[in-house]
Amino acid sequence: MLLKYSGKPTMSAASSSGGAPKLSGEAALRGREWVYLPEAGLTQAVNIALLLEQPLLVTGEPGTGKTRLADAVAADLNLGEVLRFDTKSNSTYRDLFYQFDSLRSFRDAQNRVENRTSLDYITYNALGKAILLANSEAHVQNHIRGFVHSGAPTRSLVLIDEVDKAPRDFPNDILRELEQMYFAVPELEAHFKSEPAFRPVVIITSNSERQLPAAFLRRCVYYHISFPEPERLKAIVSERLGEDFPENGRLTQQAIALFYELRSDALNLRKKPSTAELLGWMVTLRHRFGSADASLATDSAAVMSSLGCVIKDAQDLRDASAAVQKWLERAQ
Amino acid sequence: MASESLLDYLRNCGYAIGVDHHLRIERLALSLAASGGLPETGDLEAWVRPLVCQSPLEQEKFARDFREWMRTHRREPEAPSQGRELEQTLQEVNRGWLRWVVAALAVAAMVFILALALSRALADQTLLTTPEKAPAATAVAPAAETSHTSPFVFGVPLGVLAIALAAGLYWRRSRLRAFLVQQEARTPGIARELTVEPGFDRPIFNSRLLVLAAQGFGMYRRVESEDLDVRASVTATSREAGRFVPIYCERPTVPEYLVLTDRRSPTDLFARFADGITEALEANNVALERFHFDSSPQQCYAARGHRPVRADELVERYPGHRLLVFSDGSGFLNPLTQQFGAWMKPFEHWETRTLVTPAARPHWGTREKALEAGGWAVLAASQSSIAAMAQGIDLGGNDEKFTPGMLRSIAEHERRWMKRTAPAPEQIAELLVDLRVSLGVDGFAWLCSCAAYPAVDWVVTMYLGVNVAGSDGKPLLRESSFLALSRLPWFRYGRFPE
Repeated sequence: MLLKYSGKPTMSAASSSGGAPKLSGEAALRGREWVYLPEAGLTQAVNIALLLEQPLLVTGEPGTGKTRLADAVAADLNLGEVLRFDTKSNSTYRDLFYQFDSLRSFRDAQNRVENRTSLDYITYNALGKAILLANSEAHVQNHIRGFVHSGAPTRSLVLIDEVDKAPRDFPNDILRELEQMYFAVPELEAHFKSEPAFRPVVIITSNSERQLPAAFLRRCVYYHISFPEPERLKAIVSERLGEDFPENGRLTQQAIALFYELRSDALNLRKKPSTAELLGWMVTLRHRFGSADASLATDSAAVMSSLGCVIKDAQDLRDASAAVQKWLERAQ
Repeated sequence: MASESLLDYLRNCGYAIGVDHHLRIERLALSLAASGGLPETGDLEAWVRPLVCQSPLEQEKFARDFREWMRTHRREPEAPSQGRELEQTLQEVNRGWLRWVVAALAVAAMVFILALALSRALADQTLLTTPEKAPAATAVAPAAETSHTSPFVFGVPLGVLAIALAAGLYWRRSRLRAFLVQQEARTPGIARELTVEPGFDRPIFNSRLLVLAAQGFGMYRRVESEDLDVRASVTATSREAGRFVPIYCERPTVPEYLVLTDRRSPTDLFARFADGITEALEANNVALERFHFDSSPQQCYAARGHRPVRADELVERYPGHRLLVFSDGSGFLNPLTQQFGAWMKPFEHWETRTLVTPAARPHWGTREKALEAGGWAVLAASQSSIAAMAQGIDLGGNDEKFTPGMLRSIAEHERRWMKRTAPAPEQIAELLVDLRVSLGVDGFAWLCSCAAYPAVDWVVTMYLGVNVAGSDGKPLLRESSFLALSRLPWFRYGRFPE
């Protein structure tokens, strides 16, 4: 069965449930309520990855919605909860499939704990779990521990987040496994392969901090999410934070204008603020100013004291303060 | 077929298109055809881009390249180019000039005919009125009357006027044409276009040495893993009378490198040499991240991006990398104290840090000593020394015997030789002697060939190196001569003062 991502705005379970009142501002951020608005090119890239049954590699600045894309695609295609693997600087290819607690195994052997098998020390991780779920339960039931299999094979979505954090070996080591959708567990003397019709969908994100191997890139469908333009960012803010932050509200417009000033190359901040930081900052500003139509220039002290929400580096904060002060003077 | 043509076009634009791209596109087309949604040629952009691009910059560039492919390969009506407009204008100018000349000649002819008719009429009137009043003067008068009534009385000045008008028009047309022809010129100052084959500069890079270097740089190193080595732990535990002693496995891992290149100008020859080496290492699967900086590495720029990155941010991003810097190190030290500047503090984080300097070993001085004392491994730039370093071979300076160095006087006062105002004649004479000595006959000839053009360009420099013969009849292009040239300030800053 061919999967096709619609690219329509996707809502989180919380916001799509009709009974619950729509949250706003801080509550929306805390309540993990979200709406995802994909670019047209991104929708196309997702569909190409689905057609070719290849991983989709998504790059972009933090806060551009790389990780959220996985949730949106899973919701759109009814693939259930996203199976997520958070890459670490010491991740190895085996960690993507399972972990074996050799220390506990050793301790149990030393303490002569009986009735234990190798399966007791295994924890399946994102892709390992997805491959097992893509088989019928009868086929893998002797090797499952720690999660529930529905019986029939199911397709899942696996998110490998921030793959560029891992050592160079990691992407190279998983090439064949990703292509064939199989993995071996030597401790169980078993290997597993997904049924072709239920091959897991894989989305990989990267912050482009490390160049990925060419062989890995060749096997992925690639898309770079560029930072949103002001108009699109206003729409995102309004969608994410609710009715207290109308797109044409003066507070929203000024805060976004100032936000782009802080992101400008001329200011050259060490860490440019991202969308997530903007959202937090806007909630703070809304709280301090009390109205969506307030002007930031009316209380520069409040703006200056809230900069910590959006700038997270001491040197950057010094550079940004001067620029914000000038911006506020111009805005008066 | 359109996608095949597009892929061929993109390959020529520098995208890494392989057989697998053709296969993937074919598979995609089959899947789309099966679902009845085969895209039009104009919609190929969105379908091909995610399969071909591998970086944000490529994705950005792809839109432009696709538009260009559509324009040239779909034979769409072209917007009139500047050249075509000029050609049309020139044709109009030619046609206009012809019209004006014909009109001028017609006017001249009409004036001449009118003058002729007028003179005839005047002559007739004279004949009718004059004989009765002055019969004695008839012998002389006809001649005088004839001269007054000749058509040439009016015709000659008018003819001259018409010719002057035509000449004026011709002169104006010539000026206009000359102006338009001048406007049409695309490449001012270049008499002949150079055509070079891709890879013509390959002789400067020794593929055998670079493969050796890549093998050395790519050698696995062993790091401690979080996996317990059960057998070793049992042995260690039994030795400790049952007290648990965990022994962890070691796992092999690929070393990764952070390469920083000192780029004084966009056409810095030494930086281009460093690029050639790092590109060859990358092509041979050495894992490296590339940045460049100008003199001082406190702020670097990613090779694949524009945003500046500070040194401490590099430490955060690449803590486990090995550092390889291509620079003379002049921006590392305080020029007065010859001690490391405060901005170099973050670099102490990296245990393995190597500086590849353009200065030849015989010319090393206090700077290189200070760098070595500060924990840097200093290496003279040459492919043999880099390969030896990668393979863990200590050459002990023997690799530098053949390398001519740059004179310290030039290196330390390089800005002086870049000024627009010429130095004193005796200084120039001294410089020329020094250059002849340090570069040798062939190196000096190569320098002179390059200096004929005020801008330094990699292709032109390499072209001259490949095509100009040295004293032994062989091409000038040799690594030693090239490195000697690349140390000179003109080749670092990319121009020769006129």
